[in-house]
Amino acid sequence: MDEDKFAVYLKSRFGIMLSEEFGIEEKTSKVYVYSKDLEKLGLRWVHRRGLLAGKLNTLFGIKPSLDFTLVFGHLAQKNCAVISDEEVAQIFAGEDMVLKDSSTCEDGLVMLKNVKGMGVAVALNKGGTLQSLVQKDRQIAKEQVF
Amino acid sequence: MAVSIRINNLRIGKKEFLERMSRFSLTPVEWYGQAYKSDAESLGKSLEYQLGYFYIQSLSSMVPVLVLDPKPGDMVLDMAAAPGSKSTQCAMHMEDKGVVVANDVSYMRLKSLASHVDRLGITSIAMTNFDGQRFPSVAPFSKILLDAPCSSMGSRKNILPHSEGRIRSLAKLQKSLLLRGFDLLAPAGTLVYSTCTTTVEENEQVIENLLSKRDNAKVEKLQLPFAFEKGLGGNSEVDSDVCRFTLDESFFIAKITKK
Repeated sequence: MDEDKFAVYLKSRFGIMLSEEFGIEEKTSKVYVYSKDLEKLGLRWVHRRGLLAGKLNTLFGIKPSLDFTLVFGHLAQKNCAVISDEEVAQIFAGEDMVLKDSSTCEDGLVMLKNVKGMGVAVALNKGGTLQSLVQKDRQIAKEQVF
Repeated sequence: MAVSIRINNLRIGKKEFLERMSRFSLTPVEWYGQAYKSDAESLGKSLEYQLGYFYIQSLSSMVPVLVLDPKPGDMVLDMAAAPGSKSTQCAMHMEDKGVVVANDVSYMRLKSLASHVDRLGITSIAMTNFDGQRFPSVAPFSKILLDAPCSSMGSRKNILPHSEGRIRSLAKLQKSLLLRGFDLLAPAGTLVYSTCTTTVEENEQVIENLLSKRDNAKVEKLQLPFAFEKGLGGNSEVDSDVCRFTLDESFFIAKITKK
C-alpha cells in the first residue's frame, strides 16, 4: 500500500519513524498524516484528514512536504543538516547554499533543521549544493533575509 | 492598520515567539494570553508566518472559541469552518488531541482551510464538505461551533448593505443550521452560535427560533472579560444571556447547552 511506501521511505531515507498515535493515508498520490484520534469519528465521507505530508510521484520520487518537515523533521537522523537562522531565511527566499559537511548527506532530498534541532525545510543536495525546494507561495522576499 | 495575531502554541513557545517577533512590536491582549496586536505591515509575508508560528485573526473572531472552551480529547464540530481561523484555534486549545471536524459547504473555501491546517501543522482536523443543514448523524459532538454565514454588517471588510430579502434569506439559513447543529450535539454539550453582523433577524431571532422548537435547549448567561452589551431582540429571556460586543469587528454570540 502506498501509505506503507511513504513510511518505508521516511525510515530508509531519513531514519524517521512516526509514533503509533499517527496514521498515514494516501489519496491520489498525496499522502496525509493524521492523528489517530480521528478514527473515532465514524464518518464515511471525509474530504481529508490531518496534514499533507508529501507526494508520491514527484520529480524527486517521494517528497515529504515542507509542513511535514516543520512538524516531524526533528526526528530525522540521517540525510539531515543543521543550518543557521540566516540560512533558514535564505532557503525560504528560494536561494541555494553550500552544504557545510557534505559527508553527512547523500545526494537527493535532505531535511534541514535549525540550530534548535527543529525541522525547517526539505532541500535537494546535488554534490554538496543545497537547492531550496520551498514552493513559491511559501517563499519570503529576499529583502527579509537578515 | 492594526492587526491581531494568535500564537501557534503547537509550533513554538511564547518566550521564543516573542524574541523572534520583537521587530514587530507586539502588544499583548490582556484577556487572551495567546493573542497580540501589531501595527506592523506585512506580518503575513514574514518568515515566522511561513514557519507556522502564528495565525492572523481578528480579535472579535477569537472570542467564540474562548466561549466554547474546547479541551484535549473533545469531539468538536465547526459547522461553517472556512477559511479555518476557529477550527485551527480549537485544535490549538486542544493541543492537537481529540477531533475537530472542520466543515464547509464550499469546496473551494476548503482549499484555503487546508493551507492553514498544513502551515500550522495540525493533525487532528478532519475536513468535510457537507451542507451544514444536512450534516450527517455521527457520534454526538461534545462541542459545536456555528459561526454562521451572515450579512457581515459588523465586519470591517463589509462595504455593501444587504437588502431585506437577503437578510430574511440568511436568517432562514441560520435558523436551519442552528437546529441541525443542536440536534448533533451530545447531551450536556455546548454549542456556540456567533455572527459578525448586527441585525436582530440574524442573531436574537435565530436563538428564539431554536428555543421555540427545542425544549431541551438552554441559553447560558455569558460574561466576557471586556465591554459588551446584552441582546436587542426585545425578548428578555434571550437578551439577558446573549452578548453583543465590538473589538475590531462587531460580533454577536450565544452559548447554548443541551439539557
